[in-house]
Amino acid sequence: MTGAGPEGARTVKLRFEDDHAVEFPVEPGQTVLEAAEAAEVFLASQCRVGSCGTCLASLLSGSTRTVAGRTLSLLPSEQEAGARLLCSTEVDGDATFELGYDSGLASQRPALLRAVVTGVQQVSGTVVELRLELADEIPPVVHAAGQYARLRVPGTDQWRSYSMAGTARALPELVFCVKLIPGGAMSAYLERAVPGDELEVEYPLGGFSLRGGTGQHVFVAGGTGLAPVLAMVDELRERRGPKPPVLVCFACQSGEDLFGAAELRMRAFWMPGLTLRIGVTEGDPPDEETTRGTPVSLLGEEPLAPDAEAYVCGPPGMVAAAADRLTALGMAAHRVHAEKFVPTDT
Amino acid sequence: MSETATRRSEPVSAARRQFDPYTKAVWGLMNHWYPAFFSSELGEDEAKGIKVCGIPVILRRANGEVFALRDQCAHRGVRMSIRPACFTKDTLTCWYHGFTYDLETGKLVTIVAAPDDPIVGDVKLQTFPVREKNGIIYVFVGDDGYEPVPDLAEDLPPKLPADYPHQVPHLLDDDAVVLGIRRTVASNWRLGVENGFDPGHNWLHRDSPIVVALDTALPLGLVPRGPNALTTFEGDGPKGIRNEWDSGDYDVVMSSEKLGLQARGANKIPGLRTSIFLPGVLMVEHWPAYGLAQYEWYVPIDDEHHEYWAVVAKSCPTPAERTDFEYAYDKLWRDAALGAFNDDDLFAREAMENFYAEGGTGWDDEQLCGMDAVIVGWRKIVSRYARGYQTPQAHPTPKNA
Repeated sequence: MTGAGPEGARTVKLRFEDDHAVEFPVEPGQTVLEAAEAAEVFLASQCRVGSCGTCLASLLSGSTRTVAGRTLSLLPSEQEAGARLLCSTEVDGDATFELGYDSGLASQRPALLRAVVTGVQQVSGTVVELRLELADEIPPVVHAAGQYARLRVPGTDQWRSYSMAGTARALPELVFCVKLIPGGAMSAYLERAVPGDELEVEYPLGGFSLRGGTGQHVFVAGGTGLAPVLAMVDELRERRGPKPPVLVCFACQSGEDLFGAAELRMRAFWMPGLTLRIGVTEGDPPDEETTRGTPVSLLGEEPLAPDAEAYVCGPPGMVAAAADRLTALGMAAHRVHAEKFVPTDT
Repeated sequence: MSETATRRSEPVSAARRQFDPYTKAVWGLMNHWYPAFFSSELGEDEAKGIKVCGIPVILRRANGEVFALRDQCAHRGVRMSIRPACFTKDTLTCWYHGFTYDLETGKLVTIVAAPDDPIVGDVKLQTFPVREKNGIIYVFVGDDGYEPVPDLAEDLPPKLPADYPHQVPHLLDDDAVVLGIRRTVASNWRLGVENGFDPGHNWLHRDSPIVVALDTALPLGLVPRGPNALTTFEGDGPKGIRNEWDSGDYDVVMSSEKLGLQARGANKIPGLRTSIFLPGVLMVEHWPAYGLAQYEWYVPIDDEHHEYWAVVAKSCPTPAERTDFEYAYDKLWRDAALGAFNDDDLFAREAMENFYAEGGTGWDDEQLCGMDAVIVGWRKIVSRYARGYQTPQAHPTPKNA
């Protein structure tokens, strides 16, 4: 004990996107994420060591320190602008943070559930569609379109995160799009998976969800980043009230990787207000309805309406490029919502 | 890696997948116009309740104008229409504790038993847009706050082009006289809708008194054989699909050699066509006789009942023509056409209900065939253009109040 720094608990205030705010004490040595959980506020988080970026928040006031020995995925420029990863943030005094999602997503602890495999189907050269049915009772809090679950790879202690590709109306069924990674634990399991297998699911998680608004909804998805986008598009279609215009820009690396095109075209059939652009980044497009392009280039040159909302999901590089492009097309940065998919199945 | 046994996205069931939203529309289509009452059923100061898509709605006429509110008092949820209480022209009062609502805005304006309660002015009942034309009161059954409310004409069969030779009246024509009946049928609304324009069900009506009496030429069936058999309406205006019986692309089946059946009737009706438009409005041109049009609705009440509306319309520019039509309706069309003839259809709809009802397997197991192209077309048009689907509602009460 050196005596340096203030003693005793500090108070942290979190403000959610819906302006709802919570306050809780943070003990010395506790991260903001741990303190929130101790106060039964369950924030979006995943890796808990500063890598994945899920627990991102903006510091509005106060002074913070990074837990020693961590390598954060935040860029220095982001940190300078106030970005913090709450799993790796300690506070020196009272502090206030802002979170980019609604409080409703943070009020309930995710449930640990048993699920049974009902379908395993390879839908492209590199993607498997995994269907599960919850064996336990459906939990009181179900997923918002865009959220994810953690699946325990059967026979291991390894957990993998995948976004649900459908809305909660399909419960007890959960559908995931799994990118096959050579040597990956989940990928190896899927080679031998059969309907009837049981696995554990932590559900629901994450802060990626529709934010409302009646303006155009722009979705930019790369690879298996399509899964939460499918769920969000279905939510827009199935929910009450008028449907906003929708633009979906989706690309996979190659024709061999491309999946989900038929599912997307079915959505376009059901929603006359949905404009669909499907592309492959490399090689020849597999059919006439697919073009050569990236999810970002498919956005085109047309300026976007100021009241548009954008949802971006894919690898980090694509997410960053999409955010740049969307703001260049006239969108306010706070209307661009993103979920980064990092390949973790190693 | 194994494949699952059944997947709806397999090519063989592509059409089935395209109309998947329709198969789930058990409780009806939201944000559409439906008929609520005949004008004659709602006199000045009367208030009556119906259920549409499981939603209780109370309609009240004051100073001639009809207003519609959610028929569920905000206080304890009773249906106000079961004991209507109205004390002023601009309000509706709940018979239980006296919650009193403004007819136009739905706002709580006073509580008889507690006039100074602070919730007065804050609480509001959902209101529904109403239109009344040619003897029918229509209500727009919408999600609270749905905007903009489309014109009623968007949810009715469209007016025939002026240069079309076989004219029949549009439901909103100023000189149209519209007369009809309504009754509750114990089947899901979709089974009602799919009955009226079904090309294969004609022979069901072959022994109907009106067909025999008028010696109407009624084929045993009609089989689509080419692209001109169907016209779809997907542009601006009402969305629907029409059978073009006289296009040359419908094969007319006049006999069944195997069963020794022969179509009867010498009197062909020119211009006879059937069409169906969202949210489920049938138009039969030149039925039950040339110059008339029969229109039908199958208004969802709950998941297993629909209110079956059948009306006959005729253009009557003069009072004498109106009197003649009213006489013919009263003495002939009501009982022989809307009654006996359509009773055959009711029988069929209720007979289908078990197969398609909750717990039934009809939507997955039905074996459609060539004659059903128009039915698949209708289902796809609903799946694409419905303005919304009702979610399951609690505690269905089977009948209109």
